[in-house]
Amino acid sequence: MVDKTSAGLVQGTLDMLILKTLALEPLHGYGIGLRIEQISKGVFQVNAGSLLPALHRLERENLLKSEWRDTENRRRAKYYRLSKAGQRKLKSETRDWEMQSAAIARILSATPEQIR
Amino acid sequence: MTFKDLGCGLRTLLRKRRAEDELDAEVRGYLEALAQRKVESGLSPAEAMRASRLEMGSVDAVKEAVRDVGWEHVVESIWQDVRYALRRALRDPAATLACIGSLALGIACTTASFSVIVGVLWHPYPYKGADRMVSFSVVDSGGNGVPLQLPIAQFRSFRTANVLDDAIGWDLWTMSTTDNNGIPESVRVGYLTPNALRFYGVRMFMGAPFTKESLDYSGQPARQVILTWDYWQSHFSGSPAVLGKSLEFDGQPYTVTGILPRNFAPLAPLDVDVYVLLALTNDLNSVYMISGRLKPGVTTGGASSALLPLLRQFATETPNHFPRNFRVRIDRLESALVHRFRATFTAVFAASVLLLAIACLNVSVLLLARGTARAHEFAVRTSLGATRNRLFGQLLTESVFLSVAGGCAGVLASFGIIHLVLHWMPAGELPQEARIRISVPILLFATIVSVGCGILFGIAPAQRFSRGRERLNMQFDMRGAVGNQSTRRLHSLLMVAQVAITLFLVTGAAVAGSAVLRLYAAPLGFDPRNVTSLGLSLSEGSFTTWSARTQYYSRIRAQVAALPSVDSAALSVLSLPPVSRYFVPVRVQGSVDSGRSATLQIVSRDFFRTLKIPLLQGRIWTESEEANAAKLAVINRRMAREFWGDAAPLGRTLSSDGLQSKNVWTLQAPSSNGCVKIIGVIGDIPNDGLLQPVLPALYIPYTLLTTDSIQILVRTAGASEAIVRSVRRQVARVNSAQPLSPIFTAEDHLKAEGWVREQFLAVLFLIFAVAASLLAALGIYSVVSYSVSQRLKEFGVRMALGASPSNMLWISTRSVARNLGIGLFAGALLSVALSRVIALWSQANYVSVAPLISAASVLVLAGALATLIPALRARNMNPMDVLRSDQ
Repeated sequence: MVDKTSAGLVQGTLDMLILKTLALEPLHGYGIGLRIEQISKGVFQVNAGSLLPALHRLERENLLKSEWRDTENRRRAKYYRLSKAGQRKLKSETRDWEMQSAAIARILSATPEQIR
Repeated sequence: MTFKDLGCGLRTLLRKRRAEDELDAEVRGYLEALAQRKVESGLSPAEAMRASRLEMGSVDAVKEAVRDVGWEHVVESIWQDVRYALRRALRDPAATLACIGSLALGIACTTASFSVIVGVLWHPYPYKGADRMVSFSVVDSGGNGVPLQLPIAQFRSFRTANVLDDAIGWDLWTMSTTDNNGIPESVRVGYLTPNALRFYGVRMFMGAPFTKESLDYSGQPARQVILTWDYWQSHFSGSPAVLGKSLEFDGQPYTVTGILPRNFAPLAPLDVDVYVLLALTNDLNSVYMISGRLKPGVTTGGASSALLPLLRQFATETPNHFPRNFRVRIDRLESALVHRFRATFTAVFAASVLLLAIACLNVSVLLLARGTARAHEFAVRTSLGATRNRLFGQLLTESVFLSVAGGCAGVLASFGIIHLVLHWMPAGELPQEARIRISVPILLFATIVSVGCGILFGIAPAQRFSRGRERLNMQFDMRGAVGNQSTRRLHSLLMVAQVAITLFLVTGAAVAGSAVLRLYAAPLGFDPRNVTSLGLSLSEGSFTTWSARTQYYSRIRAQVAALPSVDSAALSVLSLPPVSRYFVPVRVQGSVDSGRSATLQIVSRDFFRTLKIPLLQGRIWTESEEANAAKLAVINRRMAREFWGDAAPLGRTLSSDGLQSKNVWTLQAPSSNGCVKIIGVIGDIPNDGLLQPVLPALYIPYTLLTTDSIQILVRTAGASEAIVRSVRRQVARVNSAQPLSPIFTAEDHLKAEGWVREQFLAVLFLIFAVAASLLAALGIYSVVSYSVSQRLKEFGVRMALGASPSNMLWISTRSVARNLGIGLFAGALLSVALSRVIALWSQANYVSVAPLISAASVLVLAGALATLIPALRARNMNPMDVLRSDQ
């Protein structure tokens, strides 16, 4: 089991996960955490103490937009969605991540023969 | 930071309530959603809420984390810290005042005294190449120097010497004119060679400099006059219309071409009203004073040896102008000033630095004491979730707040003190040209040192609050009501250190002060009170025979002396103490020893009575001897001692070239042969300024050598302003066209020469002493009262357990008394050690008990008050109130 807090996440990964989650549909804070937990099958559990500051920071960086809406339980909640800049950011982050993870995978699967 | 970020932050700051409400709604919404999900998975609502709270952690911590995202949060917390610092400062006004006052006084005194030093010693003159400007003296084998004077022919070749940038010739005399009401008046005229204004690099305030700049002409130059700013103001009310006007001096018209800037006074301390061009004659007997400027990189020593051959050659042309076997001495313009003020300013500066040290000490100790006593507060705040950085930031804000407030007050006070010093500084104390203004580097230095000191010691306690000890401190204060032991020990140590160092510093300042005062407290040797001096100059070409002139002077003196309000009246040439500027070479007849010099003072026999100078041996010449120009002289004690030691000087004969006239303006008695017989010895009076040792002085009857200008000295029974008019009337009775020069009293004259310095310095040091004592008292008071108030809880417990009020008083006094005692003892030891060191260094006895005792009593008084006031307050308090209060 991976560390339950987001401290276990690779630095900067939480931002990418939030962006990806919101690319699917607008969500409120708890919904985002829940969605990340569900999609990762419980590997990543995000605490409010990390999630909410991250959301506010991304909003300040103009990557997210927010609005107050009613939830399905008829409560008021702050919904976040991706901005144009956020979509661009997600694209570049995803590309970078794929490059990096492929490179890491190659390194990890390297055999002694390959370096001869 | 993006624009959006900036906008968000500003919005949050401006609509704080709304931002907080939204944040609260978001976090609570999160919590509720979390709980909702747990209810859905089967928990009861209450259990779900509890579990959610546990999972999420403190709502406030989450909010704080979100707030930390924005930059505005930093602004917020700084603002909070500032408000908190302000509240703390207002709650403890004595300590705040001690801090800010200490810093302000320390900064201001250091800056002001250093600025004066810089103004006077480092950049005293606003002239071109002032640091290379020099005066020349020829020194005889006895070590006595005479200012170099040259005729124009020699001056022309002198100024082209390769070590000199340039040189000027000058002279000073009076001419007669009439004031606006037609009353005859003397004007002090500075005669300059035409290159002088360019030499000083002076820019005219108005109008143009002399039209001539080359030294080619001979005889009388164009009659142009340049007015000093002061003369222009006093005689023409500063009207520009005076330019181009013609003024009459000695019956000759002079055209006003320019006005000099306010502070131009290159011949100071000699006073000049107007400047005209020097008449260049080929007469080798008309000599002028010389000033020069060395070429860059030339030392005074190098220049003296380079100029010696040239001057030796001059000496063969005009042997009368030079002593035998002379050498050349070159003094920088600044060195006289430096010499005159060094001791004073060193002492003043030392005192200010000590004051700054006391100020820093006060602030440090106070902040340390207060900081260490706050362990409890910080422990509580840490347990409530304050981060280390937050606490550090708060301590920093508080100390920055105090220090910067003190620094600002210090800067303001510096300007105030400079203003005061300039206002109080006696006239003539500093060269007119010296411009004293705040020295920015030293102001920065003092401010940075003291503010830095405040900040450093303000945040130092943060070191004590390491994680492990915070809890300990908290438990300590929660459990027992008694103040923290280690904090109390630290306070005792601080108190002892402060008392000791303060005592040491105050004593040091007092030693510095008394050393300077002693320097100035020399007896005068004469009585300057109620003596008025009037200058009398003959117009050119009048009274040119010896008998006519001496009779004229004698009649004027007799007329003035006949006034009923006049005790005594005398005549004197250029020799009102404390200066005399007329040096002559002197030879003792029948002695091989030659090459000595003395100041020559030409006076009437009443001079000694008028100034109340005591006659020590022999007699003064009689009236008939004076009328007949008997070849007699009186010398001062210094000359008797230097020339003859223990042998009796009376009856000896002296010869001097200086006793014979060398120019057309001075008439010598027909009988004069350059020899005089000594008939009396009088007491010493200052004749080379107040700080220099008295020079050998030779007094001869004015009939022996009669100049065309003379001073009338009048002693009146009491202070009398009316005397001036009476004297003018008496003089007019002899000659209604005779002008009299500006009148001054002997006391004014002394003041101009720095006599009031003593009083000025005394006041200055008094101010320093009061400031230092005040600071010391304030510092001790605030530390002691603070540490006593820290024990109020303990007192409450003791009283609740039945301690009597007097018992309480004793307990609180005991520890303070012990600390004070130890501190005073250590301070006294330090001071005695200092005295020893100074004694070794200056070979004088400076063990000064009085300042030590007075400083100690100030500290004891402050300590006693600081103990008694809170202790008495505690006595009247209900023990339960004290226990409940969170001190």
